[in-house]
Amino acid sequence: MAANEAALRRGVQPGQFLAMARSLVPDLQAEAVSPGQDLKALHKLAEWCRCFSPLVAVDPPDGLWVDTTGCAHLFGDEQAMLEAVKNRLAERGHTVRAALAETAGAAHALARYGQKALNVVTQGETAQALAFLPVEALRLDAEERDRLRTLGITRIADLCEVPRAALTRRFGTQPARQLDFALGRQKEPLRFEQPVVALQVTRHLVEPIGTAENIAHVMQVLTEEAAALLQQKGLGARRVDLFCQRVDEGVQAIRIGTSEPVNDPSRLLLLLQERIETIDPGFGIESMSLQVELAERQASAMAGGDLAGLSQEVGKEGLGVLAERLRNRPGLQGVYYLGETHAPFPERGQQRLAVPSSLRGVSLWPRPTRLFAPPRPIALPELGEDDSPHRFVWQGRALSVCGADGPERLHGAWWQQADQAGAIRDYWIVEIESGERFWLFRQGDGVHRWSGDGAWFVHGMF
Amino acid sequence: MTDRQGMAMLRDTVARIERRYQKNAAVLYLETGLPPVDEALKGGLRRGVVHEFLGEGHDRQLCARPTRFIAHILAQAAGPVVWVMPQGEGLALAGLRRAGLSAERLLCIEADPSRLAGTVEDVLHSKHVTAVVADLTEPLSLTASRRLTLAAEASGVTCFLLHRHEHFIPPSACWTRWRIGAAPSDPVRIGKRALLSYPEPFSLTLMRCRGGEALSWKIGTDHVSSSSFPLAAAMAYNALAKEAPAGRPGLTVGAVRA
Repeated sequence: MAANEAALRRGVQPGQFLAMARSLVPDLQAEAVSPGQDLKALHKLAEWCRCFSPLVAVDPPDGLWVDTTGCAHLFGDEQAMLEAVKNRLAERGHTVRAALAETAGAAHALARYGQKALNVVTQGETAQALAFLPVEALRLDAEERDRLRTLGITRIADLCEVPRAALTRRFGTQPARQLDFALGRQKEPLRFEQPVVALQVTRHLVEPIGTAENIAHVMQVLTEEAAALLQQKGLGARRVDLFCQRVDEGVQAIRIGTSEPVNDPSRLLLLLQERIETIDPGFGIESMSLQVELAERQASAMAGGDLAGLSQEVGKEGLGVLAERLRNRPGLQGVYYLGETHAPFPERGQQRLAVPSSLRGVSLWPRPTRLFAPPRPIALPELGEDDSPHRFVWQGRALSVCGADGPERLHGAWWQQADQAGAIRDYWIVEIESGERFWLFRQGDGVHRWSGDGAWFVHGMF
Repeated sequence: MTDRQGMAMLRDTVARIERRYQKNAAVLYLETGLPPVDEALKGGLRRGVVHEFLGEGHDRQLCARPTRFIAHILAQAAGPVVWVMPQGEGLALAGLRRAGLSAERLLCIEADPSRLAGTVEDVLHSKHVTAVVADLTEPLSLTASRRLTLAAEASGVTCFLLHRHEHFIPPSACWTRWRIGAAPSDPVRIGKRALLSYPEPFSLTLMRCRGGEALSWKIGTDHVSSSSFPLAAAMAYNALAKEAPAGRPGLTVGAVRA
């Protein structure tokens, strides 16, 4: 019988009979052991532990291995990582003992038989840390354990001293092998959990392929199969990974994302084919697999598509597909629609949107189609009696103003940014002799210091 | 799959043949909305070719006037527009809106200058787009511009190249090349102030046009017009006869239709 902390506090001991425990705690809640469900829960927890490292293996009946090679720095250091593991699992209601060591065997032993709940063994100290643990810590059968105990070998240190030849002759290969696994003399293969994916389609190729046409062909076969499966389930893919297993053990991976659930094979294929150039086939690719990482519910795309090309909505749809294709393309810094904001200053007057906004409304005042970013500072222009600029210097040339419109006073967005409180800009549209119109502004109202420092800028041209 | 591809290819071929014998001007040309210009170009800017635009004077780098002109032309036509630009100074939406181009039709793409031409070509291949506009920070080579022309021809998508630099522009395969600048307006004097009149006057120069003449227009102001762009009649309309190099064939000297 196992007991949790609350039960332990009331005097129940692990290994007691249930009747005895019941007499101690009358309202004891007892549940029958179900190894199948435990294992299922363990696998589920293993999946959750993927947040620490991508390599997670189960160690039935009650353990998990997480290969943290190259992951510890994400949490700070190894001790911090172990604490994070403990805390996060405690949040989920698990009491854990954890150990971090060089080998899976050592970690297994230290987590179960170590003195502390959290053990970190640094490189090279494994043998020392294991020396005083009982031989049970090595994963041995009950029979082997008993035979070792009868001969007085109780600690791992004792086991280390026995000559190997004698050890193998008397106890079989198992204890020596487990000792090697724990001390890292022999590498132990772990069976890591496969990540849960919505769907996976794989093709093993008879001969390695290397040309773009062949890769495209396999992609087509894979996407058609995946799309058919998605359509059957009524799902659409949001994120798809393509893995190309190379002959020399290397894996080339492509990831594509879509802006909406897609199960149209031609659309998925188009996105994948865009990325063919990024695959390095090396000596050849021997198998390719397509994993739908993330899928969402979607109405099935009509099979066959629109043969006569009669659909009317082609314009908008086409732009969406084009935007999606370009977003998956390497080398493009941004694919976006423009949208207006309510910020009063023009440089913040627009934002980048992933989907087009259907907001309509034209500003009442003339606005340039191009702005300088940032606004170009100019020297203080000559001002007329009505405060309008008469002459200003632009790129080393003095320009005289024929006509001016303004000022258009804009107030800073004090409700959004505290530093814009009270900020004022006076915008002028000025025309020079050649007819070109500049958009000038002065920071501040020209009188009060708090409204701006009175510097002049050219913000754009009309 | 192959059936569908074959069908699509067939449909494209039919559409291309149809386009050649199309009488409807709106399918063949993008109207500028300026009657004298449209008339001289026999209907407007040709679709499915490359048009180049340059700024003038202080506007060479920024190209505000050409941008405005392009936005005005695209506002007359329907369908999505893709604007490809290098990272940095982009477009100002408020001004485009005033020129008549709505934001939902406009997809912006930022690309490395080295990948710009390739991206434009790629977008030109998609058929659902009306026009592609590209901000160039350096001139394209003849080969690159030929590629763009071929891509535009195949899909029927119009390509506008905006030269936002002051380098020499080598020969290119463009259909027309324009220089769009400002023209002096006549500020209204009230007391000591000189107020500007709207809309602002433009000077349009058709520097070269395949199979046509080099022309220039001054689009004047009309105080009554409420349009976002000076739709008033061209004030002066003269050929570039005086400025044109003498030895160049294809330039009709003195083609004045005032």
